[in-house]
Amino acid sequence: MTGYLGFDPQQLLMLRDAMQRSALHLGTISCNDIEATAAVGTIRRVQQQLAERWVPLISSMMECRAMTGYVPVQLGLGDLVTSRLGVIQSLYGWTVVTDPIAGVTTAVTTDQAQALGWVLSHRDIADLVSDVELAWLDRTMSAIEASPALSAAFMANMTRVGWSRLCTRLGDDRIALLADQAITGRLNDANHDRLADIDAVFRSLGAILAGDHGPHHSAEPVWLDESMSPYASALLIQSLRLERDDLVATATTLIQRYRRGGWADVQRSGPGTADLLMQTMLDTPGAAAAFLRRAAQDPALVFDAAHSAVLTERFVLAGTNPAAISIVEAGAIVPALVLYLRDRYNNQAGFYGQHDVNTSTFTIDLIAPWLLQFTAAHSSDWALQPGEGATLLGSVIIDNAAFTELMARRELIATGLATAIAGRTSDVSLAEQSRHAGQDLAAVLGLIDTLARRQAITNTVGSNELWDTGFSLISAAASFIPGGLTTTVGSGVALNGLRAVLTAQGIAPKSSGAVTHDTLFALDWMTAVAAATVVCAVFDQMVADGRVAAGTPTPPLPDPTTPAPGAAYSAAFGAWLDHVSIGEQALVLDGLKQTIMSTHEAERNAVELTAG
Amino acid sequence: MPITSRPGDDLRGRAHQLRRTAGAIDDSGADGLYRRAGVDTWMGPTAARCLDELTTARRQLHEAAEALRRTARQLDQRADQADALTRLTTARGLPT
Repeated sequence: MTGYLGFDPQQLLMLRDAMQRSALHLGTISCNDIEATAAVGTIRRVQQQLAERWVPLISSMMECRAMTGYVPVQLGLGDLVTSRLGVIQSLYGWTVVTDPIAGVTTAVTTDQAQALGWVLSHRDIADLVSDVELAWLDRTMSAIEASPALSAAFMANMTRVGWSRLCTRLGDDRIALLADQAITGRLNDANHDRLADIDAVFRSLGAILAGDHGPHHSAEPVWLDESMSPYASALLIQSLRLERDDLVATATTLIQRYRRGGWADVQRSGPGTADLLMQTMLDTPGAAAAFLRRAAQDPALVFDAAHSAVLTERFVLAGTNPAAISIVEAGAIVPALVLYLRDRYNNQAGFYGQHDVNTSTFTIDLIAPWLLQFTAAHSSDWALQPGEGATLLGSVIIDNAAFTELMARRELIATGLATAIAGRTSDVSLAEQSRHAGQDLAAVLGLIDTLARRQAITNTVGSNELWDTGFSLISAAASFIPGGLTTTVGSGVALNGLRAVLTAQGIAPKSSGAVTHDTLFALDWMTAVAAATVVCAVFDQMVADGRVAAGTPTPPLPDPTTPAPGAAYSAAFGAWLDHVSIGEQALVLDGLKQTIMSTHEAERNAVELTAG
Repeated sequence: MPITSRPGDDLRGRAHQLRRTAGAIDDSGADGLYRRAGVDTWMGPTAARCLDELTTARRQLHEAAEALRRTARQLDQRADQADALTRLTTARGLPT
């Protein structure tokens, strides 16, 4: 409802004359037949409408009689609400008068959509978007979005300048509203409605662009136009439903432009350009990982862009989750991000002074699922030198607190280990599977061993964390040893014996007695337990499938009461092998035991050699 | 030989009158007014209301004309039946 009436004087005159002729003709019709009573009633009613209402009203307007409420006006072209009449008045010479009739809603028409596009493209609306206009624009854009014909009409007259001007204006408005909200804690009702209208208009504009298959798609998209603010582009993109690769390329361009500075959202509160883009990428499967592959060349794109450190962390962890990327892809991303974070640790200020990410926890979250790839045994996975991964790790795990944080992420470490093992278990023999699982387990344990020795873990909490981590890893690796995923610590005859030992030592469940050992002893003990776990699991499987006779004495268990549990276990294991008659199975079990204990030592040695 | 009127002639006369009325509605020009009242001529709340009323009037006039023609057909049928009944009773020598 515009409150105005526009008309083509010639056409309206012809309408009035036609109404007069019809009214006269209808007035001549008569029929006295009783069966015609209803029809004659209809004829009289229509005749009356024409002769007594519409003909006089039109005549009155043609005479420009102000007393009737129809007063001639000249509309400005910048008024969005009257855009259609304004354009027609300006271009086609229509007469426009005020229209006193209220309460009549009019549907958006094709010419109205065209006119709106024209006005937005040809007039400066900087100071004209009032609350009323914005509410009207919201309703109108919603109607245009819902109709392909109206969308096409709107797009036909909407220029790149129009897109840029409208979106940037509304985007700047939104930034200011959110900044007010951040400062005062709330928005008044009018501003709350205004914010909702702005968001709704952006949703409609994005949907219209998303559905546009016209000539605009052959040129550079309007949301990448240099004159549109990155923030406005980011708001539009939320509704564009771009394909992953297009979204990532667009987000990279916009964040680079945003970081060049000078935009309204740089110094304001609330989500900025990068926050909006990161959230959109999080909502698009695979986009976070794809973006991080680009950002690995310039990590500032991800770490010095968004206002929200929490969102940044969530974005990076989603994009580097082992479920989202391959080991090779992670090799291109994780070390680069870790290096960037480490180097920035001494310079806390972000590019625009935003809150820095919490390196002590976030970096460790980033590292934990990929701990295996930091080991010397897996250096080739990420094209690192043997020991380079551990050196990098050691430069981040610089104190007891950081080490404790790493140990607290035992589930992430175990999941990463299990994912790596699972990725290599196809098309190899069971013995090979066991050997690989044992190697990976020992490599991670060796790396943790090295880090623990540097931190000289002596307190109860630290020792407990170390134990818990070790057994999480052992349990994860054991699930891939022959017997399948049903085999876990404590499930077979031999494993039951091991569990009894662990329980007696207060390890499962824990007690204060479990941490009386010093760190060196603890790690030696852990390696022995890892080897014993794998050996016992495989032995139980051999008995189950008949390769080893039932009743064969079970493998020895590590003795935590001896000064050197690892050496004692090796000696007991050798004696057990000499005693039992299990044929070639002895070679398999001995190989597994050696793999774990030697890999553990080799890992530690490699790291320490690199560290000098 | 004098022309004698048939019993159904009155009914046929009424049917003719109804059809003529329906034809007059068709010829009134009111049917096409809505086409002149669109956005090529004027626009605004008043224009929208006028267009609504003209569209409604067109439909109502069309329905009225159709009702008149339908009634005329029924009157013609009744006239034919009345004539047939008269012929039958005359042939059998019954009083009409």
